[in-house]
Amino acid sequence: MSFNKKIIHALIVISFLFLSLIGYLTYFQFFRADKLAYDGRNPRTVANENKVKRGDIVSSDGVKLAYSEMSADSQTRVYPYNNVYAHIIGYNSVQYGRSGLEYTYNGYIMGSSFSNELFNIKRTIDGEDKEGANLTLTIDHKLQQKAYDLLGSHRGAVIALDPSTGAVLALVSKPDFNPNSESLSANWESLNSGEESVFLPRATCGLYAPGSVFKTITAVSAAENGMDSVEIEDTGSKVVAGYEFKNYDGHEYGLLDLKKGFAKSSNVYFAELAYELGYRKMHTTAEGFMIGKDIAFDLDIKTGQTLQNRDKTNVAAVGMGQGDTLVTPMNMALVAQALANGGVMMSPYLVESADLSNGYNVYKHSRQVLSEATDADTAEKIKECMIECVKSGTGVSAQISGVEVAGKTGTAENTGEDHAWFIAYAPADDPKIALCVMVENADNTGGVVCGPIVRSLIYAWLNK
Amino acid sequence: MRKVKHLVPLLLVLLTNLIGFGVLYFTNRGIDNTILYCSVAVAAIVLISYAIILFASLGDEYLFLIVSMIFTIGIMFLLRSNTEIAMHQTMFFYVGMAGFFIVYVIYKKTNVFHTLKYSMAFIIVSVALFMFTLVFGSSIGGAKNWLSFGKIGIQPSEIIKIFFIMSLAGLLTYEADDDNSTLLKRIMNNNTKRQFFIMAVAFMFMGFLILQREWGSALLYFLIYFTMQYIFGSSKTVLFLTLLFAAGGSYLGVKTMTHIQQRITIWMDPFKNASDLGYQIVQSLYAMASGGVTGSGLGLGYPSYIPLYTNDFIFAAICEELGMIGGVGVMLLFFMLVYRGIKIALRSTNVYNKAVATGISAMFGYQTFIIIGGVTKFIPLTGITLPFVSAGGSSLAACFAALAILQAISAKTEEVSDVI
Repeated sequence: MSFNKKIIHALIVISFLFLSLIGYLTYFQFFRADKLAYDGRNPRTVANENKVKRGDIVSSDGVKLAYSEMSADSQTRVYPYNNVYAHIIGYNSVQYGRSGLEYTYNGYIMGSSFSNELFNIKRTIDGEDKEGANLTLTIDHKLQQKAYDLLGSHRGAVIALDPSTGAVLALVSKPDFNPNSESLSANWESLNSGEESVFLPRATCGLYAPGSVFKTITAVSAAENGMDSVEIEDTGSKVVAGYEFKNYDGHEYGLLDLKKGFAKSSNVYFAELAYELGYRKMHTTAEGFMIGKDIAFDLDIKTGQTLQNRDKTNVAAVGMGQGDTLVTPMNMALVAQALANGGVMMSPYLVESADLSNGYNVYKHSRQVLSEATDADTAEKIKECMIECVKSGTGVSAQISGVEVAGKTGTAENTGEDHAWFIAYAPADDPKIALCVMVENADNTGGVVCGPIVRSLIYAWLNK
Repeated sequence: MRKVKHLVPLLLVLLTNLIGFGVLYFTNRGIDNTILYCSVAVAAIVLISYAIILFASLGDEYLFLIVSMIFTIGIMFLLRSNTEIAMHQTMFFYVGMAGFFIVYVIYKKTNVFHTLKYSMAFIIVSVALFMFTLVFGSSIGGAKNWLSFGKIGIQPSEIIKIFFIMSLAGLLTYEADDDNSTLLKRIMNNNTKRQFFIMAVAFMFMGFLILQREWGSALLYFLIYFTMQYIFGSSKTVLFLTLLFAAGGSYLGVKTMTHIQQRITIWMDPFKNASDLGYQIVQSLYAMASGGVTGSGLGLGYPSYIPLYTNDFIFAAICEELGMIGGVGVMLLFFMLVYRGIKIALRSTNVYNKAVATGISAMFGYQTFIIIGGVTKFIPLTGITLPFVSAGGSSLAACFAALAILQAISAKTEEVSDVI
């Protein structure tokens, strides 16, 4: 019968449908499944975790910052310092998933990223709970607490780095929230709906105009290109590339060289300097300092931008800290770190190591150079400028007797009140700490608002 | 009386029962004896039914064994969620098997379903059921396709599927005669008009399903019709027009119906709306991903995170606990069912029975593909049931009725060949 031939056709079509589906399932398992299986939003990871005690998170000075309390069927994550580590450790919630290091290091904290079967089999035989690895952070708890207190009720960020390694010593973003689950579920609605964007970690994901702290980069570019001896007559304002640049509060500084122009933060001087350097040189230096480039870190860092527009007016404006530049406070902290470290920018990191409770190490950070931002000679020249800035310029509020502090202030214009900035490192000749402090809508200069914070933190760190 | 020649597959079904339910019983230690009752009840009905099929020579011996295997696995996964649903399903198995034998006897002993009278009767009953559902039906999950009688809900489109296949088979294999007394006869006796008439009937069924927002069933009916028209129809024009209408209809649907647009958007990127629209499919993908190639093991996964997992999404639960290997295994069982059905169609000497067997086999094949493809995000999701696995009386009743007809056709064919 001729029907039979066509019935076979139908069977072939159905076979093809089944085969393609099986092919797809195979593809899915081999290429897509791994990512989805360990996705933090997969509720199974939470459920599995209830069978495994999450590891502790400990500061570099041995303070427990997060730990789990086991009960019969579940575990409660406890954050004893509430808001202080909200933007570092984040939260771990059955309802809302996880954020911060609880998210990025979940595999280690839960013990699924490495093979620890033997360890856990032994624990099971001994009648103990399965355990994940404990994280040791680079954060110094005393410094973090100090930074947290000093920022007070301001919105903004404080970042302290170890200049030679890139280790994050303190990282504060405000506003913040209490990551303990009771508080989180009680306030979830208001935290999400509020205009403060509480969940935005300002230090790593807030993008701001840098203001005059960017002049360090312009100064580096000038020094690298043999233009560090340029002298400019400052009459309080100057038309550069068809646009009139004015100094903050209309100050007139007279004849300026790089050091003095830097210390006084003359807009006239730096707009003219950047104009003469031109787009290409400015762009090369900015890229060296990772402005507008992706920075890998234990937490997300938003990528900034600069000199998208090659227009000469924009180049001049960027040179004095405005224009189309947007940076994260972390990026500016890295600028301070690189200058303190002879021009070598180190990859920032928060997690020093992950270890099992029996001492077995499963993860160790290895230091990495992020960028050769500039050479040691240039860094030395800029150091002189930064010392002068704190000694006699806009940064005097950060002075400490007996310690030479290198710094640069910034006051960035934006649509609302000005943002206040300060980057610094100290001691200048043997840096132990590099800092960036940023206060949103401070309505005052970086010297006034941020300088005292910088000063107290340096003092605390050097006298610890 | 024949020898028990399919001992190995039978033992496999019983072994699966023993191991599967055994594992569940011990992983849920002391919680519930329902698992034991279900195990024994399922094993008993499998043995009894198989004995009847074998010793009363009811045709193909494999069909029922394949379905028993699928069913046994299905019950295990229902037990994972809810012992009450699993108990109901086990009960439905008994009711379904009773229905199976009744439908078998009716189809086997009678020889009238191919007549025009019956084809028209099936169409009229189906239209009446559709109308009734549209007026009195209640919606579950966005589709208005349920008839409720007190506690009992019936999904008419499941039953209509069988009527649809039987009436299509009757009309497609109609043999012209000289009686032109009525308009219907005049249409049926003219080959071209008949083909167009059949197309109109098929699209009317699909039209009703679209009115009820049963996209999955509409697609299934279309595929069944197109397959049967391709094999048993005699007009390439109609085949071409069918494709054209289907393409035009789908285009219009995608352009104008937000409901369809939504499903396509979800299919393209379910993770964009992971917490609302894409929730079901995202949870299904998480389950399959967590299962991996070999699965978490029976009783060790978290199927309760998958929404609707006792119905449309049960395949995701199977993949989580039995892994990709288990999922593919279940698909191969369905493929074996289709293959046996097609074989029955090929061997049948009666053209009407051949058409019905083809229609039913195609139905099992396409239905499995549509729902498994949907929950695995291979194709956009349209909610239909996985035959013999998803919980639900109407779906099971329709599946067992369809199986009974296949069984009866195989028996009829054997009878004829025995005579020869």
